[in-house]
Amino acid sequence: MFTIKSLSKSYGSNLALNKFTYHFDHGIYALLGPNGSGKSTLMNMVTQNLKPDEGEILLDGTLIGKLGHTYREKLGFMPQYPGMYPSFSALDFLRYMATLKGLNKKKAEEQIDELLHAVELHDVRTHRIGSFSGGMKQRLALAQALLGDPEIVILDEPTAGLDPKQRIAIRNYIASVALNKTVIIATHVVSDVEFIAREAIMLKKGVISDSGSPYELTQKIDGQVWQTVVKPEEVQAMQDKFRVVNIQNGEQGVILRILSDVKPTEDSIPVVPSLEDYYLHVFGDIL
Amino acid sequence: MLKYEIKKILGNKFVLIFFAFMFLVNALLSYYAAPQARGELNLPSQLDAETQARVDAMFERYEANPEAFMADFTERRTYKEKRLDAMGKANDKNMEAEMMGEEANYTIQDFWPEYNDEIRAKIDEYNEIYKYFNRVYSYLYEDLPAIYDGVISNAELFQQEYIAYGMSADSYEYRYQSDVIDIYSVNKNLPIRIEDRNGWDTYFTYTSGNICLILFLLALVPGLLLDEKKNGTFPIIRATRKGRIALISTKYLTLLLLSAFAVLTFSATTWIIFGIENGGYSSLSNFVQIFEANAYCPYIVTVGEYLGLTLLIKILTLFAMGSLLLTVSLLLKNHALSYLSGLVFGGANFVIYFTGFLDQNNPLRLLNIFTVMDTEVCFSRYYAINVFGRCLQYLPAIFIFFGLILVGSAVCTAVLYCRTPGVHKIRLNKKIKLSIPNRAFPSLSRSVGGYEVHKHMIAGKWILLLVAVLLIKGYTVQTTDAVAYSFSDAVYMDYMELLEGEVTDEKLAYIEDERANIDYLMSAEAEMKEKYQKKEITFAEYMEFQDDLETAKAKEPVFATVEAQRDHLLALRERGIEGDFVYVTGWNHMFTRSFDYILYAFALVFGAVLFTTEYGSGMAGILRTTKHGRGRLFATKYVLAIAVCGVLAIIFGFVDHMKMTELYTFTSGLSPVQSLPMLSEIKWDITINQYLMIFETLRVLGVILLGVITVSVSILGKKPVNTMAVVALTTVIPYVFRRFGLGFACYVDFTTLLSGNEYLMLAHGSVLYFVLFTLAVIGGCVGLILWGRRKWVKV
Repeated sequence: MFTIKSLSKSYGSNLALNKFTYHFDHGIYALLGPNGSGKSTLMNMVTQNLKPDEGEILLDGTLIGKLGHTYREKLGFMPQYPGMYPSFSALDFLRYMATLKGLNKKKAEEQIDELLHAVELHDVRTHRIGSFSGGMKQRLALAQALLGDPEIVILDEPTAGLDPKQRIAIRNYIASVALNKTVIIATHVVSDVEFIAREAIMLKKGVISDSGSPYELTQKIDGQVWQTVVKPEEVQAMQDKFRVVNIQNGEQGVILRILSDVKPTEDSIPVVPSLEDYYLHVFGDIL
Repeated sequence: MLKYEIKKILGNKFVLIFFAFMFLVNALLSYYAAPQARGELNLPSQLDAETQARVDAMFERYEANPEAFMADFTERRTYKEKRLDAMGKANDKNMEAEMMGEEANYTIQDFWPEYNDEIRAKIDEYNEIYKYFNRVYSYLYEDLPAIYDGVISNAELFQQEYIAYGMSADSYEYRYQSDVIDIYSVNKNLPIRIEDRNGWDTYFTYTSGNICLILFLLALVPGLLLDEKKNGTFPIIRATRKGRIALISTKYLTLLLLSAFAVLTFSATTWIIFGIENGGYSSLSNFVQIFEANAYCPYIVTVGEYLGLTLLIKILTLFAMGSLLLTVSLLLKNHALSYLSGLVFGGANFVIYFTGFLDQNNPLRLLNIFTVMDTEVCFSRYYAINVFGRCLQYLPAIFIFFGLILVGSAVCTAVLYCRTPGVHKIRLNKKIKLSIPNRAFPSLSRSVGGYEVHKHMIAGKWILLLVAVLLIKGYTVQTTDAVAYSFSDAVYMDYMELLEGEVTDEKLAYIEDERANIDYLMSAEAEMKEKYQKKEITFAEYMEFQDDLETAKAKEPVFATVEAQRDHLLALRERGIEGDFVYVTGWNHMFTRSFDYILYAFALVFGAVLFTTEYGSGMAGILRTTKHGRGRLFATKYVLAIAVCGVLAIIFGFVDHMKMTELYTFTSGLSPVQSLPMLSEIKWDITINQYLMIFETLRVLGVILLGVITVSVSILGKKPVNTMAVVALTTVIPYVFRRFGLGFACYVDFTTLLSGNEYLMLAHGSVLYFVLFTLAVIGGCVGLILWGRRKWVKV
């Protein structure tokens, strides 16, 4: 359906993306990687905001360059730092985007109303965007990306700046609308995508280091994630010796979650690995 | 902290490049102006080295022993006068002898027996070398006292007239003349030293550098505060201990230092270039009135003090203007609008200064930044400002006025900068509170074009600026004084009413008869006087003749113009063109209108923001992913630029046209355009009205093309500041060069298209040239559009 073949891009001597190749069907695809791994570069090339040095992007077997605005009709994009017009109201902004997307007015109004409710901005729809908080702007940016029911939705850090409740709400909303779409979410907040992503693509220094369903990936480190309880004064020593991915205060002491090939302590117990554990396993040397 | 503020400025490439460019422009203008300056002041050409050495030696002899030198000088001078007198007498006698048929061989010695070779050598040396001393001597001891006596006696006469008309001695006008008497009475006794004055008078005529300084200031100031708002460091800085009052004070100090640095470096460059070109400078310690250009200077200052005051005034003016612009930039919170406001303010000042449509005593003209920085105005004669009937001298007025601007704007800036922003709530009492609403003005249209209009004109508040620009235009047009219908023009109009229309034999005969009549009257004065003395005519008849004679004398220069116009039409006839007699005054003013600075500034800034706001706000990436966000949006923005610039240009043209028709009389619109002597080279077979239409169309087209060019450059530059700088420099610099005499710059001067007539004249009146020029300009614009399209529409 949506295929990327050998996509590469350099900025001077810095190879930001190196022969990226992937095939996307319907569903949510998580593009995971630390800052500078090439996620935004890939997003910009998919949305034709950046020209690749080499490679192809095809939609249903046709190069997107040849499709022209037909491709863009099917595209929804939320960049990493979404721009807004501060003096526009939220409603007017979505109407403006609907006009640019060539939507029928009646359908646009219905969708706008639905989206504003979904992102919890309906009550402030006539307020100036300039008066919105960062989270409100983020939700509005997501709403415009979903406007027009696009087939391909590119979301670059969609939950940045949102509180936990909003993040869960947005995550669930994305999951609900992604059934017959291809949604590519670039993020380094793994928990946002772990339970909704069909596949996760680990991007490391512009190259796919691994990919697969979250379950497949986490299975690769099964038996390497441990939980142990230590005294508070032992925490530092454990951190120096092992890769501690989580620290939690418990009744009996400090509960450490550790990534290790070997059992860290006598009373350490193995736990089910999460996608975040796998993320840290892959990118631990970079972070 | 000062060190870091300066470091920020040095890290701003735009400011550095702009400074370097303006520095270079100033140097080039100085280099060009230096040799011109001597001509402006009617100074003799520079002497060759040998002669200059002899002149220097002569002045040194004077300084070494003034009494002995003066005795020698006076003797030579007397010899010269005696020789002239003797030569005159000899010539008269020789002429008389020739008339009487006798031998004409009278010589100087016949009337001055002591004249010999030694005396002749002294006179020759006087004529060759001592005349330079005499020029200064006679200026200081003959001309200058006469000038002051004349000024004083005129002032006394004015005072008598005021009293005769019933004006009070406490009135401003009376006090003004009293000041004039007091000042120039003191000046009469100034101990001005005789010296070989040189250099300073030409140096102080140079004013072009002020434009460079002001442009640099306009480019520098907005970034001083707005850069930190833009790059996000503003909230961080303000949260620190010294991030408010201390910081804004440091920024002001930085502005002062930069203003001083710019003034000193620019002035020093000019000083060096003028010194090299004009052979150095005379002493700083003599009174400034040593120079004829400063004869009427009301202040007792030396040349050195004058130089110091000049630099001080320039620094103060720049600093005050910079402070005002800082306040405005804080209010507008937008780089592009801040630059525009600076350009509009500077442009309005420039128009007032350059066009001179305000009376020279009008405070708007006197306290105009360009006039003030052209410090020669301040020191050229006595000026005063009327303050509640009292005279405030010009120099103190400058310091007070600009000092107030500086202090007032500094306080406002400090308050604006340091206050904590928030939702502004007005609490009338405990129960009622008002909040400024957050609601946005909705778009009235749902089309792409409608949203573009809403985005920029309504939400972006450009409509306010448009209204402001229209108001400024209306104000400047309203305050334009009519060129008073002088007697000459009234006479000319009378002649044209008689002659208007096609050239006929009757009209040519009339002109011949009128010339004969004028010549007769002007030659018959002696004859009529004799007749009156012989009582052949009465006193009344003699006075009637005198009236006719005075009228003829007054009409003669005007009639010469009419004859020149006749000759022009006859020459046209030889070229196969039947021109008409036309009253040209109004048409000349119509077609010599310069381009509109306000319109230029608006088109420049408006064109610069249409695409750059999308890049700046981060919306470009989103817009370009939508169906209509590339091709259609691209075209829509251009249409908006063309529409706004075009409509504004049409309105401005209409307003100018209305004002012109109010000020002047326009007739003979259907006459061939070549009937106007200034347009005789036009090779088209069109009427004056048709030419007017082409002229006005070109002016509108020029503004539209300027908008289009700016929009195209903005796609490539992505930032409004870069865009405006590039377009402004490429379009304005050739104009500035032309203004100061570099004629060849007209071929790359975009403002010729904006002014209309200059463009047509450049085309030498040829259709082919006109078409080629126009195609080249339009072709260039199309090229830029296509280039911009590639950037926005293509991947």
